[in-house]
Amino acid sequence: MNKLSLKKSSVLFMTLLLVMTVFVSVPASSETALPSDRSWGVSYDWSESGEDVFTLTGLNIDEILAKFSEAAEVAGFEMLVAQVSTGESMFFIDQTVLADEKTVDDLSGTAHQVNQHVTDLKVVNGMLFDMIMLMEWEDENAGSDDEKLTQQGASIDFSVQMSLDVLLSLDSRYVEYRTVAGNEIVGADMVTTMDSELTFNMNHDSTWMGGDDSIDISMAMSNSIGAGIIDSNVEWRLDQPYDVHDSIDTSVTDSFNWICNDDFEELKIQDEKEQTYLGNGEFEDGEVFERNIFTSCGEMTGNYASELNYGFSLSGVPAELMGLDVDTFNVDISDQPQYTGDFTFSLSDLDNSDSDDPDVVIIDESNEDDDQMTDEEEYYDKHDGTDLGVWEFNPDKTYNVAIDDSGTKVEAMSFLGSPVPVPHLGMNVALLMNAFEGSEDDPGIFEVVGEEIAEIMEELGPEMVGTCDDGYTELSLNMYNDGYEDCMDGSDEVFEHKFDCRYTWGVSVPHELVNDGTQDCEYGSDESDVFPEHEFECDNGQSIMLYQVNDGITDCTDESDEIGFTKDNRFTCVDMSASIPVQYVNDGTAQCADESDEGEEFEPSSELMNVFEHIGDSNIETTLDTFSEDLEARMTDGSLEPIDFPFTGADGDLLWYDGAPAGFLTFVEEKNSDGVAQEYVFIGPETEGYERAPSSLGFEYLVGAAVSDAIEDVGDVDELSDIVTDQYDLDGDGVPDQLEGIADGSIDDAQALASADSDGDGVSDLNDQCPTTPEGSDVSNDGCAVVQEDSNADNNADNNADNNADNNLDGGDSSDTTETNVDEAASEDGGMIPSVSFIATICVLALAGIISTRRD
Amino acid sequence: MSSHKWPRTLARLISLFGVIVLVSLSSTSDWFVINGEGKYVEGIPREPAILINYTVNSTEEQVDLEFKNYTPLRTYWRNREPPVSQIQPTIKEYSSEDLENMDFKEEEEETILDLEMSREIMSYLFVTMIIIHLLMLLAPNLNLLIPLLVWFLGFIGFIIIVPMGVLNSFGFEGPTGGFSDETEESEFAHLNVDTSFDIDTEGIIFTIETLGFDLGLVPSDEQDNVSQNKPAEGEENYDSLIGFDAYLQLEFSDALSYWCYIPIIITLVYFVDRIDKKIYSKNNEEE
Repeated sequence: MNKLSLKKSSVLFMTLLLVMTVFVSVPASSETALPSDRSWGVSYDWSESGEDVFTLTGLNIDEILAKFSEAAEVAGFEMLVAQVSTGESMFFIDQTVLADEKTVDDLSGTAHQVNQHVTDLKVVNGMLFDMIMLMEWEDENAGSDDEKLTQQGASIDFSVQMSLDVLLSLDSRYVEYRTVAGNEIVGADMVTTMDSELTFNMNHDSTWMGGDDSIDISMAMSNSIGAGIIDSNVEWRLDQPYDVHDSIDTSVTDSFNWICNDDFEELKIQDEKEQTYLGNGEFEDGEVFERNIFTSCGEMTGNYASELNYGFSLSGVPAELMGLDVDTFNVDISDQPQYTGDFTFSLSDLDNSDSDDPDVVIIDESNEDDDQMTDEEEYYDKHDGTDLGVWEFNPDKTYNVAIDDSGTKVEAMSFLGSPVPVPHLGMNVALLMNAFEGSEDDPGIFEVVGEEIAEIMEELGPEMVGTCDDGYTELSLNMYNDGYEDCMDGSDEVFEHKFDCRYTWGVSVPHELVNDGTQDCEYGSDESDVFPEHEFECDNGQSIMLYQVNDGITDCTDESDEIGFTKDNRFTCVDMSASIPVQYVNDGTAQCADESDEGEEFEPSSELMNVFEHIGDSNIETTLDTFSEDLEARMTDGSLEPIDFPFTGADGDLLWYDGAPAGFLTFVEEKNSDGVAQEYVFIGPETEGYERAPSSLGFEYLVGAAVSDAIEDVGDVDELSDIVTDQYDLDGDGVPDQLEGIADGSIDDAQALASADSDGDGVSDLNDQCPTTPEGSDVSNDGCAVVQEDSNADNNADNNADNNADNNLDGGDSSDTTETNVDEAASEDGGMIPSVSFIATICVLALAGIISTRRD
Repeated sequence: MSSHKWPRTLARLISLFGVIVLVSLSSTSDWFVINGEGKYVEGIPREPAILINYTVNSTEEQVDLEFKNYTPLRTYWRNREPPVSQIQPTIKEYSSEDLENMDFKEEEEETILDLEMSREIMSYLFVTMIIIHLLMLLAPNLNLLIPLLVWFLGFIGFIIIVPMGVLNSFGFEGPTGGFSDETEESEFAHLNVDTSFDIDTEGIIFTIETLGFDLGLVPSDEQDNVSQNKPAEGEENYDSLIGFDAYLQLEFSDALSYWCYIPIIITLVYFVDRIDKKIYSKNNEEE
């Protein structure tokens, strides 16, 4: 059995994260071919994220951030945080059986007439988050308390822009071949293309003034990482047809496992039965509670053309301020390797079970009644295998749902499994493991990134240049003579010979004070006149009498009883050229030829020192104290009273109908107007007996032709602009239109721009996805008119009252929502901060952390 | 002031003003823009490259570093183990008394023409040029060859002293010509280093080509063998052969252009003197 290398494991893990949803794997077919085409999926509009955070948490982060600005103003400085986000995520599955039959050979070369069961998987995830933070602070009297500072005044003008772009686009077509005669699996073909990109940019501009010195910093950082499969073809063939689908018979049991191992030469089925103990070592078989289906793993072959890319750039580093020779330092690191190749892969390579502890036991049932075999403990064949899938059906949990365009409701069963065929996932895993592996001299991106992270973690720690006298405890240079004993024996510090007083634990006096006629220790334990019976322990452990200390005669063999004794803890130079007493380490003079006995000192420039001295002698501390106190008061003044969390419970099921996955259904439990808990469909198809949740998020569930239409609308996604509306950044300058101008002007201009509300609906233009809402309209948090309840709960969103909102980021109505709870809070909107994103949440937490630290 | 001297005085006044402007422009403009590219052409996949853009003026340096095809380069740096001398070092033990008696004053650094020194030289020349023009104003008979000589020294400074200072500061040496400090010349066996330089109107181009066996890629017990016997293609450890080609182009920039206007001013002063002298002689003859 091939063991997976760490590299492969990491690739596998990332691949699974990439491809899999939260479901475990299961084959996707039945004893009969798919009765009809079925398509289903879900999309999420990220421009609704602000609204959704509010819906889920009941807290309006816009208002919280607005309070930061208000508190800053009270404290005497100005601060503005503005942000926008948009994007869309989609997950679609489209399954069909092609009308054309085909002839396919299995691994043994036998030809079979097969049907083609096609699964198209489309995963798209595109998100953009942008944020700007501005701050201005000034203290004209800074430095007046420090006589050294001749000039007065200090100020900080600070702005930072951050953006996070995320793209994942995966298109994968899987064609499974099943024999016409018996619906047995012969193999499958797959074509997958993929694009993924993660980019983080940050621009920082600041001016720090102190006295007559001014420091301008303008730094930019950009990080990106991406991987793509330009083209691929993967073929999977079994050594013979296996009747896996017919073996999934829910009339036998509700629980199935599919396990493959190359040692299996034919389909084996093991039905685990409940057993009742009858006594005398006899058992009676009961019902089957689990069925294990064993097949061989077959072989995958494939080819690919893939590419990786990553880049890191940092510009405007003020190196001179940090005492370096170069004034400004810019660095740019990038790579974009491309790979093409072929591979052979077996699903058995994914077996990670412990071979010493087999999890599968096969009982050869044909010999079950054979007395001879029974005497030999029957016939057990122990194998490890690759778990290709487990699935659990729940016949007691069925729903009448509409799974196609007709709207006709069918009875679908709840099950736990994978929404796509397991070999489809396995073939993608094989492809991704090989397509990005690289070579020994030119490794793939995952290995490089892993190594870099490990190295950074290592470098974050100090460099060890020596050890304690115990020989193994390592020491960094700054641990020497730093006033703390890092070594148990204190061998990292300048040795000061001391006498430990008795009866007062932890108190010591200089050695020369012992027997000097004066009681320096409490109770006089340093004087032999007071305690003539006391003994003294030499540094080498030898015992002598106390009166023998400092008597001019060396009684300890290491001479540690007499004044003038010095212990010679030593430091070995890194170049191994010399060894010196430890007190010479970090003494300001290099005694080692390689100067390894002296640490490098950070020498900031005089301008930097002057500026920070002025800032240190300013009102910044009291300003921050006032800010935190005012902020705390605003946070607790009752204006941020969270609304009741809308959901009191949640549940979800994958749906199984007529031998194949047919979608999924999620529920939430809310209390209705009478306070009675009621279960609503949250995301899912029309379901008989359930209404749609009043507080839905930005999800949209699609079935039937709507999926095909959505896939067609999206088309090929190679870059974010393919799925994100151009209106997010019309001029393409990297700054979203809604944030345009905020970072350029003064903070007053920015605040005026940020708080502009052209339609007077109480929601700032920045935050207003419907900036032309008719006057007097009842609007939600996003500035759009509240939609009246969809009385027939038909999964078709009512027309938004704001039909003029053509420049919406969300691209149209996406959910069927009444927004009753949202509406209540929306009227409270401060209107200055644009939509909420995760960046905002992080910033709020960071700022809260800073404030709490300041307060501590 | 006698009437015949005012044109010369005016010329020198204008000259002083012009020189102050030009010297200021020269000192504050970029003195050199250096572009360089080093590429691993042997031993590392996909020929990773290091690009450098180095801008120098009288007070500031800006360095732009770019690494292309970084993955195999990083892998090469990670995979190599700097060769360790097989001879066990002798650790000399110093006592406190030894150290107290030893003189640890910093050794006199070897005087080399680095960037700081070249900056110092150029600043002296700038000041000298202005002082001489001030003297020319006060002593109109001062020989104009003196400012020309100072200008010429400045010119030499711009095209030779500063580039040499830059190169010495940059450290155009080692197996990568200073592009990387990950490897040292002593860590290579059978290292061939070819350097050349060319000067034209655009500037100065330095090139370096190195080819040698990186002992850091050779197992420690085989390093001596590789040092003594050059592996042939196909033989063991031949894959430790690393080749690096690089160039550095030192482009003359605006500072030199401004400096080159100064002789024109001096020449104008010279012609004003000549004209004034002729007029004076003519007037004298007429009288």
